[in-house]
Amino acid sequence: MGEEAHDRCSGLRFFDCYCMIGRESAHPSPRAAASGAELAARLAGYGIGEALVHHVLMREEGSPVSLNPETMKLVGGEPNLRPAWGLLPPQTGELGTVADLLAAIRQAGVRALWAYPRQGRYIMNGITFGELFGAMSERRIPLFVEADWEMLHRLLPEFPGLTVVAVGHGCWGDDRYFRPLIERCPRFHVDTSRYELDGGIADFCRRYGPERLLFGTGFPRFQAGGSILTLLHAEIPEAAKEAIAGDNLRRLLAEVDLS
Amino acid sequence: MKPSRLREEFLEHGKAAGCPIVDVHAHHGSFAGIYFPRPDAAAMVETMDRCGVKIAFASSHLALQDPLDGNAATAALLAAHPEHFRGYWVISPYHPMVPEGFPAGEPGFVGFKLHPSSFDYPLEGPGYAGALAHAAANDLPVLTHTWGRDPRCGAVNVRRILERHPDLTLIMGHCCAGEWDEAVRLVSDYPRVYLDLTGMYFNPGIIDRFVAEAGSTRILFGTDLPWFDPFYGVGCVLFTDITDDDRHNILHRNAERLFARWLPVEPGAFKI
Repeated sequence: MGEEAHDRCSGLRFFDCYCMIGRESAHPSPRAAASGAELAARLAGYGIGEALVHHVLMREEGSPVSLNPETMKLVGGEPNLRPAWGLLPPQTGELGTVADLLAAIRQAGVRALWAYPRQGRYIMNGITFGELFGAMSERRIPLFVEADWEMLHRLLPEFPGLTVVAVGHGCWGDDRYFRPLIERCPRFHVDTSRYELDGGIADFCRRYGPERLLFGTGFPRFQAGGSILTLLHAEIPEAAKEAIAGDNLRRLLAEVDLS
Repeated sequence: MKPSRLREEFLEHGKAAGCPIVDVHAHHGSFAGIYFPRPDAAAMVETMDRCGVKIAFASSHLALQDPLDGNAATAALLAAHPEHFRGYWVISPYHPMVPEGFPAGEPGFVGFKLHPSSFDYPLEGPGYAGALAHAAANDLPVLTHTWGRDPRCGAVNVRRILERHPDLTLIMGHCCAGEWDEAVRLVSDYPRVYLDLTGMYFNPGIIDRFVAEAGSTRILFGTDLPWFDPFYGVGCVLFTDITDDDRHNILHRNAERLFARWLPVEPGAFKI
C-alpha cells in the first residue's frame, strides 16, 4: 500500500515525533530500517509522511558522539526525515561547550535533542544541565525523553520554560503520573505511541485540549498501526486530530530559534 | 506492506461489515492502578459499537479481588447487556467455588477466568484444580492470565496444568508475555490452547511471528476493556504483513468457533 492510499483513507498528515533509525543490537525488530530510504518507505507504508528521527542505538549503549553524525548521514537524503541529536552533560566536553553544541545543531539544521540519562549515566537536573536547558528554554529547542515520571516531576519545576516531550509512556495507566505535569508545566507534552487507554485521547483533549499531545509510533520499538488507528478514530474534532497527528510537532519545531 | 481491503475499510470507517470483532478478554468497573475514562458498562458498549466489536467476554475487576461480590457484578453486567457480553466466572484459589452444574443456572457465563498473579497463587495449585477439572470435563473455556517467567503463571505453570488436562480449552491471556518461544510450543503441543493478544499488540513483529509459527487459527483478539482502546489492537493487526484471511481469523472467526455455543447467532452471521 502506498502513501497516497493511506492519505486518501485517513486525511491526516502524520508527522511522527518518536521514530528511530538503525538496527537495535539486542532483539532487533524485523521492521527496523537501516537507511533513510528504507525508513521513509516503511513509514510511507503506514501513511506517515514525515518523522523526527534519532538513532535507535541511543536507547542501548550507543554514544551521541558517534550517533549524531551517523544520524545525519542516514537521513541526509530524505527531506521528510528530520534529524534529532542526543545530548550529553557539557561538563565532559564530548559534544563541546553549550555554545559549540548550539552552533553544531544550527549548522546541521537539527531542531530537537534527545536525552537518555540511564544509558548515558547522568542526572537530569540543573546541576548537570542548567546552562544547556536554560539555552534550550530560551531558544525553544524541545527536549525528548522516554517517560520517567519521577525524573520529570523533579526536572520540570526546575525548568518551567523548557519544552519537554515524554514518549512511550506505558499502557498500564500513566495518566495519574503525567496529568499533574500537564497542568503545572505549560510546555510539557506527551506522545501517543502507547496511549492505548480506551477513551484516553478524547478524555485528555476534553480536559486540556489537543495541543499537548504529539503523534508518535516508537518505530521500530513498537507496532505503529495501533497509534495510527487509535488517533484516526478518536472521538475528537478533525482539527484536533490534525493537531495531534502532526501540526503540534510542526509548530514546536517552527518555534525553535537557532539564530 | 501488502494491500489489504480490510485495512482500507477500517481506516475509512473504523469498522468492517464483514469483520464483526469478538473480544475474548474484557473486564468492567474501576481498578486501583489506572484511571479509566470509560469503566462502566454503558460506556464500554459505546466503545464496542464504535469499534465494530460485536461481543465481549468479560469478568468484573471486582471479581479479581473478591469473586463472591465480583461474580455477582459480572452477572449484573450480563443481565443488563445480554447482546454485548458473555462472562467468565472468576475463581479464588483460597475459597474456590464452582456453582453446581456450572454454567447452567448462571445465565451468560461461559467458563472460568483465573488470575494467578492477582491472587498470588500458582496456576497448578490445588485451589484451581477443581475448576480446571470441571472445565475439562464439561468442555468449558478457561481464560488465564499468563506472564512470562512469572512463577505463578508463566509458561511452565501453564504446561503443568495442560499435562493434567491435555484437552482443556485454554486461552493464554497476554500470550505468556515475553516467553514467546514457549507460548508457541504450548500451542503446538496442545490442540486447544490459544494465544490471546491482549496488551501485547505493541510488540513489533509478534503477530507476524505467531501467525507464522502457531497459525492464525490459534490467535484471539482481546482488549482488557476498559483498559485498551480496541482500535489500538485492531490497528496493529491491520498493519501487520499477514493476509486478510489471517486477520479475520484473529479478529472474530476463531472466537466465533470457540464460543459458538454461547453466541447469539451462528458463527459468521454477525452484522454490524
